[in-house]
Amino acid sequence: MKIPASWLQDYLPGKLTARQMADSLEMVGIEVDAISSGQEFGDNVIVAKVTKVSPHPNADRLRLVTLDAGKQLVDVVCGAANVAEGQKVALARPGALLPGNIKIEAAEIRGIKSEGMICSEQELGIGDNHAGIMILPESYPTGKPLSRLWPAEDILDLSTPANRADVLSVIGLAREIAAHRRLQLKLPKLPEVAMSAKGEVPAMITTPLVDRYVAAKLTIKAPGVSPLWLQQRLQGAGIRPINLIVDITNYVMVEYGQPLHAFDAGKIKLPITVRVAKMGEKLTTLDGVKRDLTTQDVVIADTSHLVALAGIMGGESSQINDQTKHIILEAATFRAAKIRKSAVRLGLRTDASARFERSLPPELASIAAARTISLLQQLAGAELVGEVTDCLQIPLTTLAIDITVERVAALMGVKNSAASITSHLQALGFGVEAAAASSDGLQHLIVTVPWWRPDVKIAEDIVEEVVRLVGYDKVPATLPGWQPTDVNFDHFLPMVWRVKAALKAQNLFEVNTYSFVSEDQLAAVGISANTHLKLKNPMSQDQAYLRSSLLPSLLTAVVQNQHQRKQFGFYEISNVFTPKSKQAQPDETLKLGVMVKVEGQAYQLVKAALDAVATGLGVKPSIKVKSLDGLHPNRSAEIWLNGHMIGKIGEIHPAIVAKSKIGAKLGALELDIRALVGAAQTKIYQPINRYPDIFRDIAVVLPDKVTWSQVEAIVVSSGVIEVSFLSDFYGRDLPEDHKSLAMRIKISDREKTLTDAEARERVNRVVKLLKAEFGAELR
Amino acid sequence: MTDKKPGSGSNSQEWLEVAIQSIEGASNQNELEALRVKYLGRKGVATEALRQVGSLPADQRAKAGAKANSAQHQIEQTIAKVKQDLLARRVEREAKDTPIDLTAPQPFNLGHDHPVNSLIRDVIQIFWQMGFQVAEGPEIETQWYNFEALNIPLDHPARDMQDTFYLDNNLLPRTHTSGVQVRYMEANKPPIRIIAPGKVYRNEDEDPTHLWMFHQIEGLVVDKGISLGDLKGTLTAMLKGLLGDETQLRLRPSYFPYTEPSVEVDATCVICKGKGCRTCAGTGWIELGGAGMVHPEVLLRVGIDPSVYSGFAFGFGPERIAAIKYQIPDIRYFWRPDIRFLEQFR
Repeated sequence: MKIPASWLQDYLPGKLTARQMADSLEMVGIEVDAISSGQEFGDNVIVAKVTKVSPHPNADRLRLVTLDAGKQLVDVVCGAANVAEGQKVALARPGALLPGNIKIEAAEIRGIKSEGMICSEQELGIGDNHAGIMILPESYPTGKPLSRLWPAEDILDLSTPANRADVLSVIGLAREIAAHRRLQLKLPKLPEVAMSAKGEVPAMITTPLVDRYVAAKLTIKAPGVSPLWLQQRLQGAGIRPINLIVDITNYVMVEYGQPLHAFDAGKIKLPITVRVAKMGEKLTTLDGVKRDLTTQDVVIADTSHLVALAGIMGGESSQINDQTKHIILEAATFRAAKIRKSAVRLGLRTDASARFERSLPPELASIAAARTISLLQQLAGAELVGEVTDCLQIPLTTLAIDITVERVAALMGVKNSAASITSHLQALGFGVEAAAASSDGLQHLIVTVPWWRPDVKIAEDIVEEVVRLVGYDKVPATLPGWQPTDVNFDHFLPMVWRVKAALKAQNLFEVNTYSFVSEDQLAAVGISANTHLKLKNPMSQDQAYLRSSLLPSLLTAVVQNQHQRKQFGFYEISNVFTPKSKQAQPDETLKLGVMVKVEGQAYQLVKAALDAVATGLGVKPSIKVKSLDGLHPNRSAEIWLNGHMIGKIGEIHPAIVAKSKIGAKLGALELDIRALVGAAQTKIYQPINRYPDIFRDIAVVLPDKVTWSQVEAIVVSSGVIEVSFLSDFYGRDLPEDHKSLAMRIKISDREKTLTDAEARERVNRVVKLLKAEFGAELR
Repeated sequence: MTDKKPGSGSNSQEWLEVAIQSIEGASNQNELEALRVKYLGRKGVATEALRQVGSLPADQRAKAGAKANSAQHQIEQTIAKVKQDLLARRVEREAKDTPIDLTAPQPFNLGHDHPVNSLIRDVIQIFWQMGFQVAEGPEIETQWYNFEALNIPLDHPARDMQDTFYLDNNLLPRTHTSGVQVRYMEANKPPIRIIAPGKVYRNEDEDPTHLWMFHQIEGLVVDKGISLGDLKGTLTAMLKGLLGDETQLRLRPSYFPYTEPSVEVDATCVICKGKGCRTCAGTGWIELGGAGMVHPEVLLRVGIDPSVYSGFAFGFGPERIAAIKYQIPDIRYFWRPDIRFLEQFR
């Protein structure tokens, strides 16, 4: 929200700089995003009059505009649709410097010379409007620098807390500054305006979504355009001036925070009904858009048609202009939630809806109506017709909250006296009365909440009011005491970190990838999207499904990085999701996924990662060779541990690799990391042999279906303590369907040093066993 | 050379000179070893000379013995010296034959944790030292745990489809890890001290400072007599642990439905140490996250009596802190795996 500092100053005594105001606001919890000068254009931006508009010969969307710049005529190429003959506009001449360091120079645009630029509000930095060029008041003298007519002004750009409707107004903000600086807030004098339910504007309220409806009939003697000060104030607040009446309603909206609407009384057939829209009802709003309404929208209707979308925007049919002489002024209190829902659904967030969304107090409607009537009387020669209608649908209540000085101290962590608490709260407009001595021995204060602070509901809210005025810098930094009755050590995370350390040593990099994937990503690794949970409102189809595996995301990541390195690998530890019953929360399984890209032996690399992790944890998962979807038919396997399948390992299917245009192999591994970590074993010391170990390498030829795991089991069963894999070889000079397997056998004896003959005898035993079991022959 | 009989008078001097010359002329360790055997071996020349001393007449023994001993000693010394020289020459030759650039980098295996995940680990370890426990909960949450229990009513803007993803059954990818706090409070009685790190999801467009999926670390302390001061002290301690002992903390008033009072937490800028720089937009402060005293309504909903217990909660985004710490201009890098990015942090 943008507010000119001078406007705030109107309600504050003395003279404050914009910086001082901003400091106070920041201290009490209103964020100041920026303080900008409302005028950053130099003297080279002048007032000019459009004398001729003709089409650009070489471009359909551009116009050739001739302007009277005071001393000479200037030709400019302009793209704005709203440029018209007779307008006064802001012309930036060559040499002008506009906000954002934009330098204007003479240029040739599509073959036509352009001697400057006609500016929009946004280009001049005095407003947000960039839909077209800015139209200046007719009274501005041609040729005069705009900076003389449009004085510099500090503008505060603010973000306010979402629960505070009161600070979406100049007065609300001034009240915060006044409270922080202990100044007396100066409020405008309001006229006494008689109001009753049976006023001049008959109104029927048929929905509980309206708390108050105030309407007044006025005759406008002097309509027209607003005085310059009013236009500039609105511009400074980011609101486009339209005509005197609309500008006054907008002025009061910014001043008090209450949106108002003025209807052309001549176009409305009374009585007014405030009701819920019927399904399919249509209303063309002031922006010219025909809106399809539903029973979720609140509308204002006259006897024949809809005239406004309550709390959001008026209807086009009853729109006023600078000639309108009879108006109906509306100030209402609509319920927040419905207004917000309608505004969101219709994509129509307005200055009015933004205020209603925060819940306005009904007290505000009558005050704002009185203020608007007063300004209309002063500036537009308005006369009130009859009595103002005031339909108050709910009783006005005042909330009193009982707080104790002790409670404030306990929550803040520092003691404040009753006097100090009282003075802070009173500065914000709260009523405070000391309660009589209480039997609980605590010092009670009865705090009355002012009507403009409906966000304050409980004692803790009062504490917040006190703290933000005392200042958070006065809160001491203490450490909470701690008397735990039990300590639950985390045994899981340190194990995960151990896994990560092993993967790190394997040259793998951890990645974080999105939990939501596309149908294509799933299909790429041979998974069907059908079995997946789907988002109702995904950002795009690229992120529509909750992944059940990390491999699709890792594949995408590897594909995207394939040209960066010849060989690399990623890993991720994340939850994956598998649906249970329709209503139940899905199963979430923490998985470890690994994918490596390498030109040579991809399977071996991921197997190395698995072995490193398993060794680090002291577990020994087994590999069950099996052809798995998405993986290479001969190079895929299940990983089993303690009788459970915990994951899979293999090479990505060559067809998938080819489709991804990767000129290498991809190794992949995915497992349930909780299952793996849960089986971790403490390492048990094995006595180091006092006698020398003897190592013997042998190579055998055996059927190629026999796995290392099988061979290892047989060798170990012979009494050999350790056997390690050296290499295998599937060459042409071997018998068909056979392979050569080389291994190193460790022979040791705890009793004595073995002789050569004894060692040979033990090796022979192994060879014999392998022959008996697999028909293996020594090479 | 071996024709001369050693041990007798003048020619003993002669063989010694020959021996020393030949030893000094040895061109490798093998030659040297052969010469050692020749002179000092069991049947070596010097050994023989010494042995013959015993057969000499008594009056000559002392002199001859001394001479033979001296000869053996000289040979031993020469061999030792030549051995040293040969070794030195070999090292010199090796160095010349096999040059090596000592500055050249060598291949090694070293991957790394994701920088955000390592930061989360740092935070966890800091809080462990302060007696906190890590709590976890589901990423796909019910509306109750994500919203209602946290005092976020049905018509609150945060619950719109524009801000939150939903599944068909109206479950949702959690928008914060606060549901973990609720679940923990339901299952455990005060005193409570937990942090809840995890992934969260928001239906928001991405830009250099916003992500639609990111990590959050939330903390919760509930006990008797917990105050805003305790919140300030705890977060100050965490910041000093994470960003350095000189880090200062600032609280600013704010609003969240689940805390009251609510605050924004700022830390002194890690880059300029509070002097003002580009990272902190000249303010000297960086926004860290939100915090506050747990709203009594939230305590009531999990069956904790707010008139007996109070608590504080806080939450912040590790991506944001990591981006500031490592001076990364665009936090989307954290979620778009790039080996060139990840390698920088190993």
